[in-house]
Amino acid sequence: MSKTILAVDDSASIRQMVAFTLKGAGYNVVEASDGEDGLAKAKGGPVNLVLTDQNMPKMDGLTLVKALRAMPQYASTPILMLTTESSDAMKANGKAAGATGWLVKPFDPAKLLEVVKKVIG
Amino acid sequence: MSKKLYFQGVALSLAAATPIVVMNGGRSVALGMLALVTVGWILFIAVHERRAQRAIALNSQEARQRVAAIAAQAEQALTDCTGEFGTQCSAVKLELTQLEGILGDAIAKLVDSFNALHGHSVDQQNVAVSITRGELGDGKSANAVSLDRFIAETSATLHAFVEGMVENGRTAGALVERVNSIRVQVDRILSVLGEIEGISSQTNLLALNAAIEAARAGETGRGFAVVAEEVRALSDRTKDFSAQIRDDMERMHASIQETERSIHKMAARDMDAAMASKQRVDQTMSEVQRVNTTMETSVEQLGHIAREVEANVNTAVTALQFQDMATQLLNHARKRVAEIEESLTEITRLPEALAQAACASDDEQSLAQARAAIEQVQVRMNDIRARTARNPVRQEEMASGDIELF
Repeated sequence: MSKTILAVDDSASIRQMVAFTLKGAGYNVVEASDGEDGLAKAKGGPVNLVLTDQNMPKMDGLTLVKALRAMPQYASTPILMLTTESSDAMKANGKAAGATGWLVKPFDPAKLLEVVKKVIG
Repeated sequence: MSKKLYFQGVALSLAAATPIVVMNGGRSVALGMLALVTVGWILFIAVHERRAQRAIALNSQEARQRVAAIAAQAEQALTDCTGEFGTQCSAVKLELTQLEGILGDAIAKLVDSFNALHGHSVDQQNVAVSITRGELGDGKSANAVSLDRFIAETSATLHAFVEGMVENGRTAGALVERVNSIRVQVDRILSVLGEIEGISSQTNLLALNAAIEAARAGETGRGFAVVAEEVRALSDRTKDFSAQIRDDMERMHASIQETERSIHKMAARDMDAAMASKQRVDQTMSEVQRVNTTMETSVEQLGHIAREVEANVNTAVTALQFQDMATQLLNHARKRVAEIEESLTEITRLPEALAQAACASDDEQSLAQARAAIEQVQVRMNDIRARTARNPVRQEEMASGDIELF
Protein backbone atom coordinates (compact mmCIF):
# COMPACT_ATOMS: atom_id res chain seq x y z
CA MET A 1 0.00 0.00 0.00
CA SER A 2 1.39 3.35 -1.03
CA LYS A 3 2.29 5.91 1.63
CA THR A 4 0.27 9.09 1.99
CA ILE A 5 1.85 12.54 1.90
CA LEU A 6 -0.02 15.68 2.92
CA ALA A 7 1.06 18.65 0.78
CA VAL A 8 0.05 21.98 2.34
CA ASP A 9 0.56 25.14 0.28
CA ASP A 10 -1.62 28.12 -0.61
CA SER A 11 -0.11 28.12 -4.10
CA ALA A 12 -2.13 25.81 -6.34
CA SER A 13 0.75 25.48 -8.78
CA ILE A 14 3.18 24.39 -6.05
CA ARG A 15 0.66 21.79 -4.85
CA GLN A 16 0.27 20.68 -8.45
CA MET A 17 4.05 20.30 -8.89
CA VAL A 18 4.52 18.52 -5.56
CA ALA A 19 1.65 16.15 -6.34
CA PHE A 20 3.01 15.41 -9.81
CA THR A 21 6.48 14.70 -8.46
CA LEU A 22 5.33 12.44 -5.63
CA LYS A 23 2.50 10.65 -7.45
CA GLY A 24 4.97 9.78 -10.21
CA ALA A 25 7.03 7.93 -7.59
CA GLY A 26 3.99 5.99 -6.36
CA TYR A 27 3.01 8.05 -3.33
CA ASN A 28 -0.55 8.97 -2.51
CA VAL A 29 -0.84 12.77 -2.18
CA VAL A 30 -3.48 14.71 -0.24
CA GLU A 31 -3.52 18.46 -0.92
CA ALA A 32 -4.44 21.27 1.48
CA SER A 33 -4.57 25.00 0.71
CA ASP A 34 -3.55 26.39 4.13
CA GLY A 35 -2.63 25.38 7.68
CA GLU A 36 -6.21 24.97 8.87
CA ASP A 37 -7.12 22.85 5.87
CA GLY A 38 -3.95 20.82 6.41
CA LEU A 39 -4.76 20.23 10.06
CA ALA A 40 -8.31 19.14 9.20
CA LYS A 41 -7.03 16.71 6.57
CA ALA A 42 -4.35 15.36 8.91
CA LYS A 43 -7.10 14.66 11.44
CA GLY A 44 -9.20 13.06 8.70
CA GLY A 45 -6.82 10.24 7.93
CA PRO A 46 -3.40 8.75 8.56
CA VAL A 47 -0.59 10.66 6.89
CA ASN A 48 2.98 9.33 6.61
CA LEU A 49 4.64 12.65 5.80
CA VAL A 50 3.61 16.31 5.91
CA LEU A 51 5.13 18.78 3.47
CA THR A 52 4.11 22.32 4.33
CA ASP A 53 4.69 25.90 3.23
CA GLN A 54 5.31 28.59 5.85
CA ASN A 55 3.51 31.75 4.69
CA MET A 56 -0.14 30.87 4.22
CA PRO A 57 -3.46 32.53 5.05
CA LYS A 58 -5.48 31.41 8.10
CA MET A 59 -2.70 29.31 9.64
CA ASP A 60 0.99 29.38 8.80
CA GLY A 61 3.32 26.41 8.54
CA LEU A 62 5.00 26.69 11.93
CA THR A 63 1.63 26.91 13.70
CA LEU A 64 0.55 23.81 11.79
CA VAL A 65 3.73 21.98 12.84
CA LYS A 66 3.09 22.85 16.51
CA ALA A 67 -0.57 21.79 16.24
CA LEU A 68 0.40 18.46 14.64
CA ARG A 69 3.11 17.77 17.19
CA ALA A 70 0.52 18.28 19.92
CA MET A 71 -1.46 15.37 18.46
CA PRO A 72 -0.20 11.96 19.70
CA GLN A 73 -0.60 10.32 16.26
CA TYR A 74 1.68 12.94 14.68
CA ALA A 75 4.23 13.18 17.48
CA SER A 76 6.89 11.46 15.39
CA THR A 77 5.57 11.80 11.84
CA PRO A 78 8.14 13.47 9.57
CA ILE A 79 7.19 17.08 8.75
CA LEU A 80 9.18 18.92 6.11
CA MET A 81 8.94 22.68 5.59
CA LEU A 82 8.92 23.71 1.91
CA THR A 83 9.07 27.48 1.79
CA THR A 84 10.70 30.55 0.28
CA GLU A 85 11.80 31.50 3.79
CA SER A 86 15.49 30.81 4.13
CA SER A 87 16.75 32.79 7.12
CA ASP A 88 18.57 30.96 9.88
CA ALA A 89 16.17 32.45 12.41
CA MET A 90 13.16 30.95 10.63
CA LYS A 91 14.89 27.58 10.33
CA ALA A 92 15.65 27.68 14.05
CA ASN A 93 11.96 28.40 14.71
CA GLY A 94 11.05 25.45 12.52
CA LYS A 95 13.41 23.14 14.33
CA ALA A 96 12.07 24.34 17.69
CA ALA A 97 8.48 23.80 16.53
CA GLY A 98 9.29 20.18 15.68
CA ALA A 99 9.89 20.22 11.93
CA THR A 100 12.00 17.37 10.55
CA GLY A 101 13.68 19.37 7.82
CA TRP A 102 13.71 22.62 5.88
CA LEU A 103 13.57 22.80 2.09
CA VAL A 104 13.95 26.20 0.47
CA LYS A 105 11.93 26.91 -2.67
CA PRO A 106 12.23 26.51 -5.53
CA PHE A 107 12.57 22.76 -5.18
CA ASP A 108 14.13 20.41 -7.70
CA PRO A 109 11.66 17.50 -8.15
CA ALA A 110 14.47 14.92 -8.16
CA LYS A 111 15.97 16.31 -4.95
CA LEU A 112 12.55 16.54 -3.30
CA LEU A 113 11.93 12.90 -4.15
CA GLU A 114 15.35 11.97 -2.81
CA VAL A 115 14.63 13.66 0.54
CA VAL A 116 11.14 12.15 0.78
CA LYS A 117 12.53 8.67 0.09
CA LYS A 118 15.23 9.23 2.67
CA VAL A 119 12.66 10.29 5.28
CA ILE A 120 9.84 7.77 4.70
CA GLY A 121 11.33 5.28 2.25
CA MET B 1 10.23 99.74 19.67
CA SER B 2 7.59 102.00 21.15
CA LYS B 3 9.37 102.15 24.54
CA LYS B 4 12.65 103.01 22.89
CA LEU B 5 10.94 105.82 20.92
CA TYR B 6 9.28 106.97 24.08
CA PHE B 7 12.58 107.27 25.99
CA GLN B 8 14.28 108.87 23.03
CA GLY B 9 11.43 111.47 22.86
CA VAL B 10 11.69 112.22 26.57
CA ALA B 11 15.51 112.60 26.35
CA LEU B 12 15.20 114.89 23.31
CA SER B 13 12.56 117.05 25.02
CA LEU B 14 14.75 117.42 28.05
CA ALA B 15 17.75 118.33 25.88
CA ALA B 16 15.63 120.92 24.01
CA ALA B 17 14.16 122.39 27.23
CA THR B 18 17.49 122.77 29.08
CA PRO B 19 18.81 125.82 27.13
CA ILE B 20 15.50 127.56 27.48
CA VAL B 21 15.56 126.99 31.22
CA VAL B 22 19.13 128.22 31.46
CA MET B 23 18.40 131.31 29.41
CA ASN B 24 15.28 132.15 31.36
CA GLY B 25 16.91 131.32 34.64
CA GLY B 26 13.59 130.55 36.14
CA ARG B 27 13.19 127.23 37.72
CA SER B 28 9.40 127.18 37.70
CA VAL B 29 9.13 128.16 34.06
CA ALA B 30 11.67 125.62 33.16
CA LEU B 31 9.96 122.89 35.07
CA GLY B 32 6.60 123.86 33.62
CA MET B 33 8.05 123.83 30.10
CA LEU B 34 9.77 120.57 30.75
CA ALA B 35 6.59 119.05 32.08
CA LEU B 36 4.67 120.39 29.11
CA VAL B 37 7.13 119.08 26.60
CA THR B 38 7.30 115.78 28.38
CA VAL B 39 3.53 115.40 28.47
CA GLY B 40 3.38 116.43 24.84
CA TRP B 41 5.89 113.81 23.90
CA ILE B 42 4.14 111.22 25.98
CA LEU B 43 0.90 112.01 24.27
CA PHE B 44 2.60 111.94 20.87
CA ILE B 45 4.25 108.67 21.58
CA ALA B 46 1.05 107.19 22.96
CA VAL B 47 -0.85 108.17 19.85
CA HIS B 48 1.99 106.90 17.67
CA GLU B 49 2.09 103.67 19.63
CA ARG B 50 -1.59 103.17 19.20
CA ARG B 51 -1.40 103.81 15.48
CA ALA B 52 1.52 101.45 15.17
CA GLN B 53 -0.32 98.75 17.07
CA ARG B 54 -3.35 99.26 14.87
CA ALA B 55 -1.18 98.98 11.78
CA ILE B 56 0.49 95.85 13.12
CA ALA B 57 -2.89 94.38 13.91
CA LEU B 58 -4.06 95.16 10.44
CA ASN B 59 -0.90 93.70 8.88
CA SER B 60 -1.10 90.62 11.07
CA GLN B 61 -4.69 90.03 10.04
CA GLU B 62 -3.82 90.37 6.37
CA ALA B 63 -0.88 88.09 6.80
CA ARG B 64 -3.02 85.58 8.56
CA GLN B 65 -5.59 85.77 5.83
CA ARG B 66 -2.92 85.29 3.20
CA VAL B 67 -1.39 82.42 5.13
CA ALA B 68 -4.83 80.92 5.61
CA ALA B 69 -5.52 81.24 1.90
CA ILE B 70 -2.19 79.61 1.01
CA ALA B 71 -2.80 76.95 3.64
CA ALA B 72 -6.21 76.29 2.16
CA GLN B 73 -4.70 76.03 -1.31
CA ALA B 74 -1.96 73.77 0.00
CA GLU B 75 -4.52 71.64 1.78
CA GLN B 76 -6.58 71.37 -1.39
CA ALA B 77 -3.48 70.49 -3.40
CA LEU B 78 -2.53 67.93 -0.78
CA THR B 79 -6.05 66.52 -0.80
CA ASP B 80 -5.95 66.31 -4.59
CA CYS B 81 -2.56 64.61 -4.43
CA THR B 82 -3.61 62.09 -1.82
CA GLY B 83 -6.82 61.47 -3.73
CA GLU B 84 -4.86 60.82 -6.91
CA PHE B 85 -2.33 58.73 -5.04
CA GLY B 86 -5.19 56.73 -3.55
CA THR B 87 -6.67 56.18 -7.01
CA GLN B 88 -3.26 55.15 -8.33
CA CYS B 89 -2.73 52.83 -5.37
CA SER B 90 -6.11 51.19 -5.96
CA ALA B 91 -5.25 50.79 -9.64
CA VAL B 92 -1.85 49.31 -8.74
CA LYS B 93 -3.52 46.85 -6.38
CA LEU B 94 -6.02 45.86 -9.07
CA GLU B 95 -3.27 45.44 -11.61
CA LEU B 96 -1.19 43.39 -9.16
CA THR B 97 -4.21 41.16 -8.56
CA GLN B 98 -4.75 40.90 -12.31
CA LEU B 99 -1.09 40.01 -12.81
CA GLU B 100 -1.32 37.39 -10.08
CA GLY B 101 -4.37 35.88 -11.77
CA ILE B 102 -2.69 35.78 -15.16
CA LEU B 103 0.46 34.27 -13.67
CA GLY B 104 -1.51 31.66 -11.75
CA ASP B 105 -3.52 30.64 -14.79
CA ALA B 106 -0.51 30.54 -17.10
CA ILE B 107 1.65 28.61 -14.66
CA ALA B 108 -1.07 26.04 -13.96
CA LYS B 109 -1.36 25.41 -17.70
CA LEU B 110 2.41 25.33 -18.15
CA VAL B 111 2.82 22.86 -15.30
CA ASP B 112 0.07 20.68 -16.78
CA SER B 113 1.72 20.93 -20.15
CA PHE B 114 5.19 20.00 -18.88
CA ASN B 115 3.80 17.17 -16.79
CA ALA B 116 1.90 15.84 -19.80
CA LEU B 117 5.04 16.18 -21.90
CA HIS B 118 6.96 14.13 -19.39
CA GLY B 119 4.17 11.55 -19.23
CA HIS B 120 4.06 11.25 -23.03
CA SER B 121 7.80 10.84 -23.15
CA VAL B 122 7.67 8.01 -20.63
CA ASP B 123 4.72 6.41 -22.49
CA GLN B 124 6.61 6.70 -25.75
CA GLN B 125 9.60 4.92 -24.30
CA ASN B 126 7.40 2.22 -22.78
CA VAL B 127 5.67 1.66 -26.11
CA ALA B 128 9.03 1.38 -27.87
CA VAL B 129 10.27 -1.09 -25.26
CA SER B 130 7.02 -3.07 -25.59
CA ILE B 131 7.44 -3.21 -29.35
CA THR B 132 10.99 -4.51 -29.16
CA ARG B 133 10.05 -7.01 -26.48
CA GLY B 134 6.91 -7.98 -28.40
CA GLU B 135 4.75 -7.31 -25.38
CA LEU B 136 1.04 -6.87 -25.66
CA GLY B 137 -0.67 -3.58 -25.08
CA ASP B 138 -1.38 -4.47 -21.47
CA GLY B 139 2.31 -5.01 -20.82
CA LYS B 140 1.90 -8.77 -20.18
CA SER B 141 4.63 -10.83 -21.74
CA ALA B 142 3.54 -14.36 -20.75
CA ASN B 143 2.33 -15.26 -24.24
CA ALA B 144 4.26 -12.60 -25.98
CA VAL B 145 6.22 -13.27 -29.13
CA SER B 146 9.35 -11.29 -28.72
CA LEU B 147 11.28 -10.25 -31.74
CA ASP B 148 14.39 -11.85 -30.27
CA ARG B 149 12.54 -15.12 -29.79
CA PHE B 150 11.00 -14.88 -33.24
CA ILE B 151 14.44 -14.37 -34.76
CA ALA B 152 15.91 -17.24 -32.77
CA GLU B 153 13.07 -19.64 -33.61
CA THR B 154 12.90 -18.70 -37.27
CA SER B 155 16.64 -18.97 -37.56
CA ALA B 156 16.63 -22.38 -35.86
CA THR B 157 13.81 -23.65 -38.10
CA LEU B 158 15.43 -22.42 -41.27
CA HIS B 159 18.80 -23.80 -40.23
CA ALA B 160 17.21 -27.15 -39.44
CA PHE B 161 15.56 -27.12 -42.85
CA VAL B 162 18.81 -26.24 -44.57
CA GLU B 163 20.67 -28.86 -42.53
CA GLY B 164 18.01 -31.36 -43.59
CA MET B 165 18.60 -30.49 -47.21
CA VAL B 166 22.34 -30.80 -46.78
CA GLU B 167 21.80 -34.17 -45.11
CA ASN B 168 19.59 -35.21 -48.05
CA GLY B 169 22.43 -34.26 -50.35
CA ARG B 170 24.81 -36.41 -48.36
CA THR B 171 22.34 -39.28 -48.43
CA ALA B 172 21.97 -38.86 -52.19
CA GLY B 173 25.74 -39.06 -52.50
CA ALA B 174 25.76 -42.29 -50.53
CA LEU B 175 22.92 -43.57 -52.70
CA VAL B 176 24.93 -42.81 -55.82
CA GLU B 177 27.83 -44.76 -54.41
CA ARG B 178 25.57 -47.72 -53.72
CA VAL B 179 24.02 -47.53 -57.16
CA ASN B 180 27.53 -47.41 -58.55
CA SER B 181 28.32 -50.52 -56.60
CA ILE B 182 25.18 -52.21 -58.02
CA ARG B 183 26.21 -51.13 -61.53
CA VAL B 184 29.65 -52.70 -61.02
CA GLN B 185 27.98 -55.90 -59.85
CA VAL B 186 25.66 -55.85 -62.87
CA ASP B 187 28.68 -55.37 -65.14
CA ARG B 188 30.28 -58.31 -63.40
CA ILE B 189 27.12 -60.38 -63.94
CA LEU B 190 27.08 -59.34 -67.59
CA SER B 191 30.69 -60.42 -67.81
CA VAL B 192 29.78 -63.77 -66.22
CA LEU B 193 26.91 -64.07 -68.71
CA GLY B 194 29.47 -63.73 -71.51
CA GLU B 195 31.32 -66.71 -69.98
CA ILE B 196 28.05 -68.65 -69.82
CA GLU B 197 27.32 -67.78 -73.44
CA GLY B 198 30.83 -68.96 -74.40
CA ILE B 199 30.30 -72.20 -72.55
CA SER B 200 26.91 -72.56 -74.24
CA SER B 201 28.49 -72.05 -77.72
CA GLN B 202 31.21 -74.55 -76.95
CA THR B 203 28.63 -77.00 -75.62
CA ASN B 204 26.56 -76.48 -78.76
CA LEU B 205 29.65 -77.11 -80.88
CA LEU B 206 30.47 -80.23 -78.83
CA ALA B 207 26.89 -81.46 -79.26
CA LEU B 208 27.20 -80.88 -83.02
CA ASN B 209 30.47 -82.79 -83.11
CA ALA B 210 28.93 -85.53 -80.99
CA ALA B 211 25.96 -85.76 -83.42
CA ILE B 212 28.37 -85.99 -86.38
CA GLU B 213 30.35 -88.69 -84.59
CA ALA B 214 27.09 -90.49 -83.66
CA ALA B 215 25.93 -90.44 -87.33
CA ARG B 216 29.30 -91.78 -88.40
CA ALA B 217 28.97 -94.61 -85.87
CA GLY B 218 25.69 -95.62 -87.46
CA GLU B 219 23.18 -97.65 -85.53
CA THR B 220 25.46 -97.96 -82.54
CA GLY B 221 25.80 -94.24 -82.27
CA ARG B 222 22.01 -93.65 -82.40
CA GLY B 223 21.70 -93.34 -78.59
CA PHE B 224 24.69 -91.10 -78.48
CA ALA B 225 23.05 -88.97 -81.20
CA VAL B 226 19.96 -88.56 -79.00
CA VAL B 227 22.19 -87.45 -76.08
CA ALA B 228 24.07 -85.11 -78.37
CA GLU B 229 20.76 -83.59 -79.47
CA GLU B 230 19.64 -83.11 -75.90
CA VAL B 231 22.96 -81.48 -75.02
CA ARG B 232 22.59 -79.15 -77.99
CA ALA B 233 19.00 -78.37 -76.93
CA LEU B 234 20.29 -77.56 -73.43
CA SER B 235 22.96 -75.39 -74.93
CA ASP B 236 20.37 -73.53 -76.95
CA ARG B 237 18.16 -73.07 -73.89
CA THR B 238 21.20 -71.84 -71.93
CA LYS B 239 21.93 -69.40 -74.69
CA ASP B 240 18.32 -68.21 -74.70
CA PHE B 241 18.31 -67.81 -70.92
CA SER B 242 21.60 -66.04 -71.06
CA ALA B 243 20.32 -63.69 -73.74
CA GLN B 244 17.20 -63.06 -71.71
CA ILE B 245 19.25 -62.45 -68.59
CA ARG B 246 21.56 -60.15 -70.56
CA ASP B 247 18.59 -58.20 -71.86
CA ASP B 248 17.22 -57.84 -68.35
CA MET B 249 20.58 -56.98 -66.93
CA GLU B 250 21.18 -54.42 -69.65
CA ARG B 251 17.82 -52.83 -68.96
CA MET B 252 18.68 -52.91 -65.29
CA HIS B 253 22.01 -51.36 -66.09
CA ALA B 254 20.31 -48.62 -68.07
CA SER B 255 17.85 -48.04 -65.23
CA ILE B 256 20.68 -47.92 -62.75
CA GLN B 257 22.51 -45.43 -64.88
CA GLU B 258 19.36 -43.36 -65.19
CA THR B 259 18.83 -43.59 -61.42
CA GLU B 260 22.39 -42.61 -60.84
CA ARG B 261 22.02 -39.54 -63.07
CA SER B 262 18.76 -38.62 -61.38
CA ILE B 263 20.30 -38.96 -57.96
CA HIS B 264 23.28 -36.95 -59.09
CA LYS B 265 21.01 -34.29 -60.49
CA MET B 266 18.82 -34.24 -57.40
CA ALA B 267 21.74 -34.21 -55.03
CA ALA B 268 23.41 -31.40 -56.92
CA ARG B 269 20.20 -29.39 -57.10
CA ASP B 270 19.36 -29.96 -53.42
CA MET B 271 22.86 -29.09 -52.34
CA ASP B 272 22.88 -25.92 -54.43
CA ALA B 273 19.44 -24.96 -53.13
CA ALA B 274 20.46 -25.80 -49.60
CA MET B 275 23.63 -23.75 -49.84
CA ALA B 276 21.77 -20.84 -51.46
CA SER B 277 19.02 -21.09 -48.85
CA LYS B 278 21.55 -21.26 -46.07
CA GLN B 279 23.27 -18.19 -47.44
CA ARG B 280 19.96 -16.33 -47.78
CA VAL B 281 18.87 -17.37 -44.31
CA ASP B 282 22.18 -16.24 -42.89
CA GLN B 283 21.90 -12.91 -44.72
CA THR B 284 18.27 -12.43 -43.67
CA MET B 285 18.99 -13.34 -40.08
CA SER B 286 21.97 -11.05 -40.08
CA GLU B 287 19.78 -8.25 -41.44
CA VAL B 288 17.01 -8.98 -38.94
CA GLN B 289 19.59 -9.05 -36.19
CA ARG B 290 20.98 -5.74 -37.40
CA VAL B 291 17.46 -4.27 -37.45
CA ASN B 292 16.86 -5.66 -33.99
CA THR B 293 20.13 -4.20 -32.74
CA THR B 294 19.22 -0.88 -34.34
CA MET B 295 15.84 -1.03 -32.64
CA GLU B 296 17.46 -1.78 -29.31
CA THR B 297 19.84 1.11 -29.85
CA SER B 298 16.90 3.30 -30.80
CA VAL B 299 15.04 2.26 -27.67
CA GLU B 300 18.13 3.04 -25.61
CA GLN B 301 18.28 6.42 -27.33
CA LEU B 302 14.59 6.90 -26.60
CA GLY B 303 15.32 6.08 -22.96
CA HIS B 304 18.13 8.59 -22.98
CA ILE B 305 15.83 11.19 -24.55
CA ALA B 306 13.13 10.39 -21.99
CA ARG B 307 15.65 10.93 -19.20
CA GLU B 308 16.71 14.20 -20.82
CA VAL B 309 13.07 15.25 -21.11
CA GLU B 310 12.57 14.34 -17.45
CA ALA B 311 15.60 16.43 -16.46
CA ASN B 312 14.35 19.33 -18.58
CA VAL B 313 10.86 19.02 -17.11
CA ASN B 314 12.41 19.04 -13.63
CA THR B 315 14.30 22.21 -14.52
CA ALA B 316 11.09 23.70 -15.90
CA VAL B 317 9.16 22.68 -12.78
CA THR B 318 11.85 24.29 -10.64
CA ALA B 319 11.76 27.45 -12.73
CA LEU B 320 7.96 27.58 -12.82
CA GLN B 321 7.95 27.95 -9.07
CA PHE B 322 8.81 31.56 -9.72
CA GLN B 323 5.04 32.01 -9.69
CA ASP B 324 4.91 31.18 -5.98
CA MET B 325 7.68 33.65 -5.25
CA ALA B 326 6.21 36.21 -7.62
CA THR B 327 2.84 35.85 -5.87
CA GLN B 328 4.44 36.38 -2.48
CA LEU B 329 6.34 39.39 -3.81
CA LEU B 330 3.11 40.71 -5.35
CA ASN B 331 1.35 40.26 -2.03
CA HIS B 332 4.20 42.07 -0.32
CA ALA B 333 4.00 44.85 -2.91
CA ARG B 334 0.23 44.98 -2.37
CA LYS B 335 0.82 45.28 1.36
CA ARG B 336 3.22 48.15 0.72
CA VAL B 337 0.63 49.87 -1.48
CA ALA B 338 -2.02 49.40 1.22
CA GLU B 339 0.36 50.94 3.75
CA ILE B 340 0.99 53.84 1.40
CA GLU B 341 -2.78 54.32 1.07
CA GLU B 342 -3.19 54.32 4.82
CA SER B 343 -0.31 56.74 5.29
CA LEU B 344 -1.86 59.02 2.68
CA THR B 345 -4.99 59.14 4.80
CA GLU B 346 -2.79 60.04 7.75
CA ILE B 347 -1.04 62.76 5.77
CA THR B 348 -4.38 64.12 4.60
CA ARG B 349 -5.35 64.66 8.20
CA LEU B 350 -2.09 66.55 8.91
CA PRO B 351 -3.12 69.98 7.47
CA GLU B 352 -6.36 69.81 9.42
CA ALA B 353 -4.46 69.03 12.61
CA LEU B 354 -1.99 71.83 11.90
CA ALA B 355 -4.85 74.24 11.21
CA GLN B 356 -6.45 73.28 14.50
CA ALA B 357 -3.11 73.78 16.19
CA ALA B 358 -2.83 77.24 14.65
CA CYS B 359 -6.17 78.17 16.18
CA ALA B 360 -5.03 77.23 19.67
CA SER B 361 -5.35 79.84 22.43
CA ASP B 362 -1.64 80.50 22.76
CA ASP B 363 1.52 79.94 20.84
CA GLU B 364 2.92 77.27 23.12
CA GLN B 365 -0.21 75.16 22.89
CA SER B 366 -0.31 75.74 19.15
CA LEU B 367 3.30 74.61 18.75
CA ALA B 368 2.73 71.57 20.98
CA GLN B 369 -0.33 70.48 18.97
CA ALA B 370 1.46 70.96 15.67
CA ARG B 371 4.47 69.01 16.96
CA ALA B 372 2.19 66.18 18.16
CA ALA B 373 0.48 65.99 14.78
CA ILE B 374 3.83 65.81 12.97
CA GLU B 375 5.17 63.22 15.42
CA GLN B 376 2.08 61.08 14.84
CA VAL B 377 2.87 61.05 11.15
CA GLN B 378 6.46 60.09 11.89
CA VAL B 379 5.31 57.26 14.18
CA ARG B 380 3.00 56.10 11.42
CA MET B 381 5.86 56.09 8.91
CA ASN B 382 8.00 54.04 11.31
CA ASP B 383 5.12 51.57 11.69
CA ILE B 384 4.91 51.21 7.92
CA ARG B 385 8.67 50.68 7.67
CA ALA B 386 8.52 48.02 10.38
CA ARG B 387 5.52 46.23 8.89
CA THR B 388 6.97 46.04 5.40
CA ALA B 389 10.61 45.50 6.33
CA ARG B 390 10.55 41.68 6.13
CA ASN B 391 10.36 40.40 2.58
CA PRO B 392 9.24 36.74 2.58
CA VAL B 393 11.22 36.07 -0.58
CA ARG B 394 14.97 36.44 -0.40
CA GLN B 395 15.84 34.46 -3.51
CA GLU B 396 17.31 36.42 -6.36
CA GLU B 397 17.56 33.56 -8.85
CA MET B 398 15.74 30.32 -9.68
CA ALA B 399 18.41 27.81 -8.59
CA SER B 400 16.90 25.10 -6.39
CA GLY B 401 17.01 25.99 -2.71
CA ASP B 402 18.98 24.49 0.16
CA ILE B 403 17.83 21.34 1.92
CA GLU B 404 18.50 20.83 5.60
CA LEU B 405 17.36 17.88 7.68
CA PHE B 406 17.31 18.57 11.40
